[in-house]
Amino acid sequence: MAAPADTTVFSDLSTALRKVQELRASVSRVFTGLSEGLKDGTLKANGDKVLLSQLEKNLLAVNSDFSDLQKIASHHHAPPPHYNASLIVLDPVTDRHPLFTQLLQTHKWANKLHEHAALSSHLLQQNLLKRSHTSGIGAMAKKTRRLGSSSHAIPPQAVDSVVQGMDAMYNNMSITVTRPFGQAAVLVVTLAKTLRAVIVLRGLLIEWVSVKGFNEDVYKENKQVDIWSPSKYAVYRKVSDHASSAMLHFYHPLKPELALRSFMLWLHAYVSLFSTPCHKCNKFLVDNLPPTWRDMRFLDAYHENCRTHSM
Amino acid sequence: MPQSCGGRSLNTFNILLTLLLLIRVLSYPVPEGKSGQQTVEALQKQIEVLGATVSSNFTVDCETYGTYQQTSQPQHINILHNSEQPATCFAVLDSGNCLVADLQFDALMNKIKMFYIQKKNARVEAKGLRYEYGDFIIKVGSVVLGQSTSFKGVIVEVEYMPAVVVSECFGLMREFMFSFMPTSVIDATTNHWKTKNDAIYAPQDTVLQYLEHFNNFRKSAVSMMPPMQ
Repeated sequence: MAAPADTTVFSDLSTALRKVQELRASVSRVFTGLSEGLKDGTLKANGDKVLLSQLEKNLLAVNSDFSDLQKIASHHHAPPPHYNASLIVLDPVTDRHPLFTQLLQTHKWANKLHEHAALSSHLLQQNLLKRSHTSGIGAMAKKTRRLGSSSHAIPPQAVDSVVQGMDAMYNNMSITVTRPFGQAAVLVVTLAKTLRAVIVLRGLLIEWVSVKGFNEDVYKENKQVDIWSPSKYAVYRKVSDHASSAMLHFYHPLKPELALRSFMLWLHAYVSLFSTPCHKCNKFLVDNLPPTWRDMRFLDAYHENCRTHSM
Repeated sequence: MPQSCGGRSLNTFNILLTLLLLIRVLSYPVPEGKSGQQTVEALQKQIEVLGATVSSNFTVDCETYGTYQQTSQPQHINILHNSEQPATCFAVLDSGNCLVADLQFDALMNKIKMFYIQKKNARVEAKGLRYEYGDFIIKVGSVVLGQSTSFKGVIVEVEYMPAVVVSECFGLMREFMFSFMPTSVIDATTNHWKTKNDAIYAPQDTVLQYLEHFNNFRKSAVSMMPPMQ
């Protein structure tokens, strides 16, 4: 792309040089004409006139040459500076710039980056555990992707029937369904006279759990379910934390109904939150809290610190 | 009524425990040579050792009104105020029925002077410190009877706020109270929760328990009076 521009620049420069030569020649002609004077002394009478006309001719030639050179010079601009790089060329002391060492380091760094990228891509290819089944290979992956995507796209009627089934299953646990956000169902679970839990579902997958006391209000002033505010009692805040970990424990995108049922069974174990002593230390209170943990499989009551020994 | 003086010495104080969720009225002899104030301070110190922090003071007071006409069976109305519900007034009949009203109810009692008259020297007041310890609220105070400002007994209230049913947290509260009080005190039972063991707690439950303890204080004060000639 830059080649035609370069050639015009070079041709301009060569004509300019030629013009400079011509100018020098014409100027030197003026001075030689003046110094030599008239060669033949025969025409002395008209000698002055001849000399003057010769000088005038020579000066006109100088003038025309100079104006030509000026015209060419006005076309040709000085080249734009190449920022700092062009200045480096001007500096004869090259050792003053750490450019070379910097360049070397950059090369080393780039090599390392390339090496690490290759290693990590190799490792990632080996580990195919991906929650979003977007890049699965083969028929099995296609199957799981189809099932996975359907678990949160369950029609509201199906969710309602599952919840009704669970509501009927337990005597002392009532579940009400509201849909303040459109499709997503929000369950308010009242467990005996012990606690109230707010569960946000996406399809049948549990998205969020918050536990509050029986005497705390789970509805805001505008009758909306209060999902976010934590309980004012330490014991229920702790139970909320445990419920969140249980939610992740029971998470099963392929069998969301089973996961929800398992979670509800686990939550139902909290009916004896205040009346069951710890399975391990046989005490009610440790750190001023009752046994807030329920075993995932056997539903035994444990204090938070006692459960590590139970697992 | 003239009564013979009981076998108690004067430095025996009743320690009455009002437990918000499980009611137990307990009396046990304070060690000889220890004053009531010392007992309260010892209790408070033990609660502070647990790690509880003082949040404020508390007061529960009780005025008693009797029927004006002496001919019929005497009937009483007890008007109680609790600093935990500062804008509320509780009126309790002899039958145990409790009316929960605004503070304006006090003015109403003045209007019906013709029917109910305030009993003199029947005012009972419990005053002390309110502690917070996690989800527990502990109140330790001394009880003052009538016009005298002398110490009549110690009252302890323990509330476990997250629970609403007594039968559920019976063992839990017993264990908690055991950390700062002797078992013999905790295991004596009062009448209030015997019938309402599975009921949901309401503020009047606290007040009824206080009234039960105040009545016991009055009885013990009467029994300690010297017999009239």
